[in-house]
Amino acid sequence: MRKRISNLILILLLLTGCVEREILDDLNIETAKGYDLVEENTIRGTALFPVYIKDGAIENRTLSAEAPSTREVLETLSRKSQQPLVRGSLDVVLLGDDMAKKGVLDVADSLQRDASIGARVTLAIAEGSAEDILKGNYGIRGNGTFISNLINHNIKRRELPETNLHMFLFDYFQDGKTPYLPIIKKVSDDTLEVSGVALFDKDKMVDTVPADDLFFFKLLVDKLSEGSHVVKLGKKDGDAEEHVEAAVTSIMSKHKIKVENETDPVKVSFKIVIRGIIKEYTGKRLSQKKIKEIEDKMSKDITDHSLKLLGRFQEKGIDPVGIGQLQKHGVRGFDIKEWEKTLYPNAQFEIKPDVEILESGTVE
Amino acid sequence: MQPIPESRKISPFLVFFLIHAIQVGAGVLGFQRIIAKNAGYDGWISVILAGITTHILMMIMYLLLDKGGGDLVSAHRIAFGKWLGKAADFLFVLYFTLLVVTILRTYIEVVQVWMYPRLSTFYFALAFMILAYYIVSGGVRNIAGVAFFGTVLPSYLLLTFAFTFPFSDFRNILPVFDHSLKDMLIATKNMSLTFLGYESILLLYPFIKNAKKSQKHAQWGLFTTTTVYVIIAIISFAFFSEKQLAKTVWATLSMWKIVEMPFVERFEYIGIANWCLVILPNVCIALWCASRIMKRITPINQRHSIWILSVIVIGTLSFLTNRKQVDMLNTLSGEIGFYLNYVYIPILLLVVIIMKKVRKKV
Repeated sequence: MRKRISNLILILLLLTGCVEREILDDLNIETAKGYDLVEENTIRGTALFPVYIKDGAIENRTLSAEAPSTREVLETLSRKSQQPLVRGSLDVVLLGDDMAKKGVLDVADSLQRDASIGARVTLAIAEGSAEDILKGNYGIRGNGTFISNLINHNIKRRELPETNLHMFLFDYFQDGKTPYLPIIKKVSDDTLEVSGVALFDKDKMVDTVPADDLFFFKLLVDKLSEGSHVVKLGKKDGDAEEHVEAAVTSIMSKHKIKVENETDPVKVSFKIVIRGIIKEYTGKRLSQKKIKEIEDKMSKDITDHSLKLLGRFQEKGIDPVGIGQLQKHGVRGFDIKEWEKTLYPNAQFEIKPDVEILESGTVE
Repeated sequence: MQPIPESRKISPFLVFFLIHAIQVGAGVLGFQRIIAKNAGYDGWISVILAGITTHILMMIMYLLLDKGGGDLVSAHRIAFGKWLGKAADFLFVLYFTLLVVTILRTYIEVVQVWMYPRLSTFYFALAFMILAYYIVSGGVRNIAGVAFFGTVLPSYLLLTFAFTFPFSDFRNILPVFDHSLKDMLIATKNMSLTFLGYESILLLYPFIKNAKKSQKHAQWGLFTTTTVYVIIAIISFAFFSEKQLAKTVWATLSMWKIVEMPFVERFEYIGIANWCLVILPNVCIALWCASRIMKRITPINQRHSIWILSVIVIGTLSFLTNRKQVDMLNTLSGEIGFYLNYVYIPILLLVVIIMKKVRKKV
């Protein structure tokens, strides 16, 4: 028996090292990646990887290569890299807007297919060129971390709707829903800015929502959202130019969408509940009456902007809110073709905002 | 059959773990796509239906064991006589060996796709089979222990699916009953393949103390498996959109891609490594069943037959190299298992009952 056990141990020792080793120091670990369309059939891929310098600083290095397809870009990049490029800790993938207009499914597919890439990877559209953005120097923790933090905190605390690789693919494959992704813009060599949301029809970018409308967009597409909106009231007393403004930060908001599928045309009602606090007020005294006025104005803003957005979606034949998806859950034998062709373009929307201002800060 | 000494028998409640452990194997990692192919997002109903059939079959098997003299081999003997009975036994040896090959190869494929593309099938299988040999040669009590740990230790993995909730839309499964009954029944059949393995009770039975009273535990084992499968099916339906799931080979593993913890970037690696513990009792029970039949029908020592079977398994494994073959292997063993369980076993019960009556008259 003892002999048998020692034999076993011997064999197990021989079995170590079956699989190749990968040493972190000898790898280029990609943290961000960008794709741009340079010509009709040429894609320029940029890989960003951090190099850790002795005193703890991080240097951003990039490699770029051009090829006809995303897969070939990968190969060409590897040929240029001194050490093997690995994608295991990829955080961000940027797509140039030209590329996005042409279709992004190839990129999304290659990300999904690679088992080493997580589903939480941040996908974003670069206004201008993705390479340009990746070549800047932002923050001290490396560009990849910077961009993903920038987008994530805007999702969590501000007006950006929630997106990532998984959600993009979910929406792309779901009948009755179209995906959307955030857009970022380079302001200067060390600053970036979230400048809006790109709307897709299948995998092609067809429209954008500017940053000013994001508050309303997020109210429509996300179950729960935060963010802030500046309400413009009447003119200031004795001032012809300036408006009285109140900045309202929503601390809790949710929406409830109801599709009445028996009616013709289909009626969709949005109940939007917002509980907010006033962060800034430029008028004189914030009385209860004023607060009521702000609530009413905000409700009106929400109704107007949301209807405008929804009308635009219908016009472009896209459905980022996922009304078709809701309709699908409500009826048996849902016919997506009929829905897209006749029902959705004629659908009527109704917005029922419910705004309540809870507090107005430490002064009246 | 020689009576099994009391000291080598297991407590009846351990049947729960044996049944549950052999049912849950590599199939859980990717059954969602297979049921959704026909029944769409009504597939979870098919899981329940398939689960119900396993309960009925388990009742039939206990009846067969009761009437058929204690295990499969003696039932065959009553039904078909000495030589034909042995031929039928041999079929089951092949079947259980095929199960070992299927389970192990599917798991190795997962490791190759998700973790190490260059992992050698042969060496991994060799190491794994040495371990399996070591456990199986220790007897049923040993295997029951492994089944216990193979169920309890990885059970925490169920909790990790909670990470998918923020991204899930449970309305996906609405409207319920949006598919025809026929589609749902096809899905039920396909699902029943993922439930296979509980026929090992046909050989384990003589090793259970108070064997007749153990049916309760076996049924609970089946019930637990069904519950786990229904939960995983509904969670994956909520997490993936329908066409997205159709493209996802290992939906359970793909769900782990969303898990994010401060200390681990890719949870799949931990999940897959843990899954080794789930696979181990699977391989051990099936291997033991094959070797047990060999012992009953041939004069070969059981340890030697484990050796022989292990060598056959490792040899076969090395010939299966790509996705297509692994897929074929899964379909093949699933189909065979389906017909053995759902068609052959009930017929065998009938034949046993008839033959007993005939002999009594003679």
